[in-house]
Amino acid sequence: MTKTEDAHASLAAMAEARGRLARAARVPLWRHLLFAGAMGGLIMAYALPLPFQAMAVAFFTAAAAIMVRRDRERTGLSIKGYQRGRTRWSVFGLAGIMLLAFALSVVARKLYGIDWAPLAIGAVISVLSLGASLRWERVYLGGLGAPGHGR
Amino acid sequence: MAVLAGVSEAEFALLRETVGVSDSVLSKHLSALGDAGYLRLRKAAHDGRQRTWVSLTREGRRAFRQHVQSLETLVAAANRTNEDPV
Repeated sequence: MTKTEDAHASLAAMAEARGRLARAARVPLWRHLLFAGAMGGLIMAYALPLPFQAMAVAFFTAAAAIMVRRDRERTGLSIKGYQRGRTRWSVFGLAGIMLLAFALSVVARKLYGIDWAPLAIGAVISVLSLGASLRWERVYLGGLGAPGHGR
Repeated sequence: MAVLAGVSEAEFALLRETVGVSDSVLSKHLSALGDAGYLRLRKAAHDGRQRTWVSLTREGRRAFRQHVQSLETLVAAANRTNEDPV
């Protein structure tokens, strides 16, 4: 086998292995929905009376952490959402939107007395989070297509 | 390494299934890569079993990227030669 044939074979083997990785890394729709629910819940928590706000935030934060842990156990993979690469922008973008959503909820409730604002904003965040989660997965799996990319 | 380059960490069994080799072959390769400083191995207990988690070091990621670039350069050069044999 020539060096070029060796190189072709190596790259092909890498691509095949990463294809199998992509299949193992894919998560079901309900997992995306759970994530979206947790993100929306973090914003909606602000609609609750003060003592319950902290409990709700703690609940949804714990839910997100448990999801990550269960992903590892189920797939045998640990993939940081914010790892270097094209997926990083999805994560930072969503984080920025979450901060903005929280700020809007505070302003709407405190300044304008719209007590239901966090619920409405939280619902929007849930939808956006679902889109972000699905997009993140599509970008990540697409990035696995080439052997040297993905990270 | 191609699999590990796409994740933060992978469990030994998943690696074995993804790469399609036996436990002993994979262990041997992981050991060699670990000795070269390209890999990190971590054992963690789960459900009463010990599981081994594998990750690339920074040096390992760099070495892999350079290796892939070399392969791609070789293939690209061969393709150019085939297109323009003169």
